[in-house]
Amino acid sequence: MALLNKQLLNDLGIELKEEDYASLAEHFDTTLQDRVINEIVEELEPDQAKELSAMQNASDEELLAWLNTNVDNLAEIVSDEIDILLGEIAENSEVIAA
Amino acid sequence: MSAETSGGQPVGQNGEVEPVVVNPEVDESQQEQDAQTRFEDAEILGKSYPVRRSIMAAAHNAIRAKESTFARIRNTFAKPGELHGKMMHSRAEAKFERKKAKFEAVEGKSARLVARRAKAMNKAEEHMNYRAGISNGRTQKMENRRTAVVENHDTRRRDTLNYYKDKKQEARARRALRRQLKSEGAGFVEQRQLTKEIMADVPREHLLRLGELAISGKLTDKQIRKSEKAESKQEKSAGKLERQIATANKRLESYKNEAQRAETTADKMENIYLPKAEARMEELQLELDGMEPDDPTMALVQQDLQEAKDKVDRLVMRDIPYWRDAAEKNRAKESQTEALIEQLSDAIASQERQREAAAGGTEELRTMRQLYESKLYASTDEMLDIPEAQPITPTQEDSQNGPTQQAAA
Repeated sequence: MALLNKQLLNDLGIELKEEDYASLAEHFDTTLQDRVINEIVEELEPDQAKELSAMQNASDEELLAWLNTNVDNLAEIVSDEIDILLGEIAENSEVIAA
Repeated sequence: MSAETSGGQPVGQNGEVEPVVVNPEVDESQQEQDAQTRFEDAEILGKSYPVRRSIMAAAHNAIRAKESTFARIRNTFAKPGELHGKMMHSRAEAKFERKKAKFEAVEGKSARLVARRAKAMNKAEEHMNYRAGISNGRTQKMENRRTAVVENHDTRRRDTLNYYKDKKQEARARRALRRQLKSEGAGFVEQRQLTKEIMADVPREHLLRLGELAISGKLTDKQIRKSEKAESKQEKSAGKLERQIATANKRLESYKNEAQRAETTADKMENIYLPKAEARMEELQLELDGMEPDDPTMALVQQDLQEAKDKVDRLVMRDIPYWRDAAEKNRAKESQTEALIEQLSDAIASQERQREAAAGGTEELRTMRQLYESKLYASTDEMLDIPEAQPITPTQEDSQNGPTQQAAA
């Protein structure tokens, strides 16, 4: 996923070497996934959680279809977590750039 | 499925406004009105639609490079004016110094003379200040162009930072509201605890896979279109720069030819015509020196000698300097044009790098879109979760619900 691209970082005044950028991008992706997962879990009922935990062998298509059906506001959750994470990068841009 | 409505329109599970099945017997104007209402509701509901990530592709560095290039180009063309201004100021300054010296030389002498010299000195001083104003103004203008590039870049960066900080605040507020609404349900705390216990046993790989799918699946056409638009804009801009380079190359060629021609002419005059004219002059001088005072042809020889001297003077004082000057001016223009071409080439190279970066992003988005469209959904509509239209009958209660209720859902 190229949500955090170099151009965005440059626009925030953060100039990083290639390896630092790769490391930050990976951390961004992992943190974002964790936060989205946490929010999805917050939305689920216990029955839904059981159903989801049983779908470990399901295909990507089935999982995504299930998420879309059972998680209200999935799009908002993803959108908000991305906004929050990018905002944190913006707030800490001077520290990251240093 | 649809419980709450906004302005008589149903809202589905995901908070989207569901399209109302239109009675085919209703005329088209009514259908258009429905569509208009739904769109307005969407604007009010805003966040209820699928993720519309619009990470700003502001490309500040590209804009800075462009502004810097144009500032340097403008300064390059303004440089002769600046030099002219400085030269005129320096001449005015020299004149003022002369007038001042003249004034100081007559101090204590005739009042009329002193007053006249003072008036001349003051006039020269005024003119000097006038020239100083023009010269400083031109210099300041060039400096302002340079500093404006830096200031604009800083302003854009600050604006971008503030934009993302504001978006974060809004997103956190929405998240807090969601959690609060969720917690208002009965038995929420116990249910959440139970859910967390169940999910704690799920392997991390599965959870990460869920997160990845949720995020990636919500990328929309809008991001692709935005990237494509940025790409084509950069291509057009590059085309414009290339045309400017072509024009500059033609001018460069013309300046080179003119300089060459002027140098050749000056060399010819200096190496061929001038020696000939000087030799002729010497010959006539010798002839004149050898003549008797009462020689009837002396007048003619004197006339020829004078013409020969005039020719030598013309060559030395007018013609050769003119062609040398012309050659120098064309060489100066040639250097300026070469510098301009270099700056334009740098701008194109910078844009090319930006375009490659954008193309990479666009390609990735296209690939992801194709993957999800081919594997999961038959159409983009399905991917964006616009459910099938269901027949509904708006109730009185529904019509009383306003947008606030919808946003809370």
